[in-house]
Amino acid sequence: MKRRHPESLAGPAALRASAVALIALFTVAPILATVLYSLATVWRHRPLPDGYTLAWWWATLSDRDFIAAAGRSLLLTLATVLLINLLVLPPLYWSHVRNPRIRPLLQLAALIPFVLPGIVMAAAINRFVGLWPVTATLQATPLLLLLSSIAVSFSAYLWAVDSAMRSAKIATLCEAATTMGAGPVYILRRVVVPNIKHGIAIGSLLAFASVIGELALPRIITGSAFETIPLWQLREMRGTDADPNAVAVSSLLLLILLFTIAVFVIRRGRAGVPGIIFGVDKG
Amino acid sequence: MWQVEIESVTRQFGATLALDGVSLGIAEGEMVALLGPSGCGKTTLLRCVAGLSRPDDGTIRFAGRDVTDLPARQRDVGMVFQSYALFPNLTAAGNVAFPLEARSWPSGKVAPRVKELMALVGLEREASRFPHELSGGQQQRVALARALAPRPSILLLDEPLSALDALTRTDLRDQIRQIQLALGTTALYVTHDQAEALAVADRIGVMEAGRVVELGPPAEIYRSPRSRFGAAFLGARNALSLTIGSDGWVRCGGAFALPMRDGRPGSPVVATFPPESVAFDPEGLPGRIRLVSFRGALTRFRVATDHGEIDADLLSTAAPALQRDEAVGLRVQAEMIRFYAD
Repeated sequence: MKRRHPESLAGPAALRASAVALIALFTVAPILATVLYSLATVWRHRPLPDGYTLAWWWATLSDRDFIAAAGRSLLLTLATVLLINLLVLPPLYWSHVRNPRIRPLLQLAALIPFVLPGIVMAAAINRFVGLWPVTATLQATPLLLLLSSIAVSFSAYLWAVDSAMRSAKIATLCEAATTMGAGPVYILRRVVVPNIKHGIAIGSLLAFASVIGELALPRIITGSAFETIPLWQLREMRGTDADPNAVAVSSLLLLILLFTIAVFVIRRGRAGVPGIIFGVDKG
Repeated sequence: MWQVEIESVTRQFGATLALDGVSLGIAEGEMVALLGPSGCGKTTLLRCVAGLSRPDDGTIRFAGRDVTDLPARQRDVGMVFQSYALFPNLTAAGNVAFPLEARSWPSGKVAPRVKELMALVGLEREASRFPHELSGGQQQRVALARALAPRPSILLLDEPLSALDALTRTDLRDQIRQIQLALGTTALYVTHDQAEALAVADRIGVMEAGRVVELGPPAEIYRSPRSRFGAAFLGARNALSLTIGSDGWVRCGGAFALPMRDGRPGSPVVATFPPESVAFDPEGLPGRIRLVSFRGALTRFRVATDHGEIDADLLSTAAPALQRDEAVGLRVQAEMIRFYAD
């Protein structure tokens, strides 16, 4: 009897190629449509636009409101990522090295943003700070938006870095370094950070992506007082002077920004990325 | 004076008593192996000595100095971990240099010391390789070099060979012992492998349920284990349940007959003896061969008798050409038999 080649278990090559093509189409089609829309003069009932122009790109990039919103979004996002690193990394490191009992608490807290919609969290945060006169001064301020952004986006960072620490067996490495006479700061600098830097980069990227695209939080907490890119996009989609082409351009600009950062992160830590994302040990 | 002195050390994790008043001394230049099954407390004791775990009670002294409350980084120990624990971001040489840099050695002295250690473990050519580019045996040799680099007063080895294949394990085991003897380093070696403990140690401490139940030179505790647990753990010993006869003798067919000084007639006892103390003798205890297993230098025969199954190890060059189900007689060297209350 002729033995079946193990590869044939995955199905005929044509079927596999079709499956891959279908997934690629599903992923690429919306991006392609957005690109075409951002370049279209007019797009009526045809598969492709009637004509092409760079006018929307020029108009968006020279729009003062857009540039200001992009600046606020970047400021908010970078501040969020920086503070997440400062607030989440130390307790997570501590939970791996000294006190594993606090780890389930951290993980439980990181589940909340997944189960509560952003709009609910934003409304809850707004109500919560309004309960006391001292905290009420925070209402509708960029500072509250920043704190809320940290609360909503830290979970993606925590899972990525937690997985990187587990994968690198940080607890054992720290114990080894301690027996060699190294102090905590020296260990953090020479052992911990170099071995989880790709996890930190990916966690920061995920937090960055979730904050820069967040609409519910800025809309409920600050409204137009601190207009970010999603709020600007919302404004551009409404009213009689709606400009959906500008929204397409701004979406593509965000995509290019995130894609560039992602490529940089993945190229820098090629070997470690699957392990960090899926929590698989290298060894 | 002991180089390492462990006195009545107790360590509890929740309801589990991991160390139950353990006392042990290690002389300068001596290697003591802690041998026992998983969960017996041997690694916990090693971690207490390293300073990675704090005893609930008891004292640990290094050369007479109380170090019980001293942080691990100030203890002047070198430790080799089961999982190697090499720093993936550093090369082999970088790993060996790490403890020297952490202890602020002058930079001019680091490189020669690293070179010396890499040569000691035979890895001069692998100095610039990263851990993932090395085999398991090479990684553990780097870990050994790293532990020895700052000339620690005590070397601690936590099951250093358990993740390696059999051949590498034997080679590295001998290398560790040679290096320890050459440097005269005081060492505490934790293992669950009795062959490993017998091969490397000056003395072996057998641990059971947080206590050291046997302590002595390998040959002594192999031949004369004091406890039944020690007898069972120090080799695949035969264990037969017998009864003291009315004349005060214990008999096992034609295999052996020995007088019992303490023990009342009619009391049950367990006789243990190693497989290499059993020989074929037509006048001995009758039995039938159940298994013949060639093991290189030795051949093992498992024989079913009226008193239970008995294993006999014979030199393969001198082993008779016996087959399964053949009838044989067994005799046991009397001086190798130890009795324990059943």
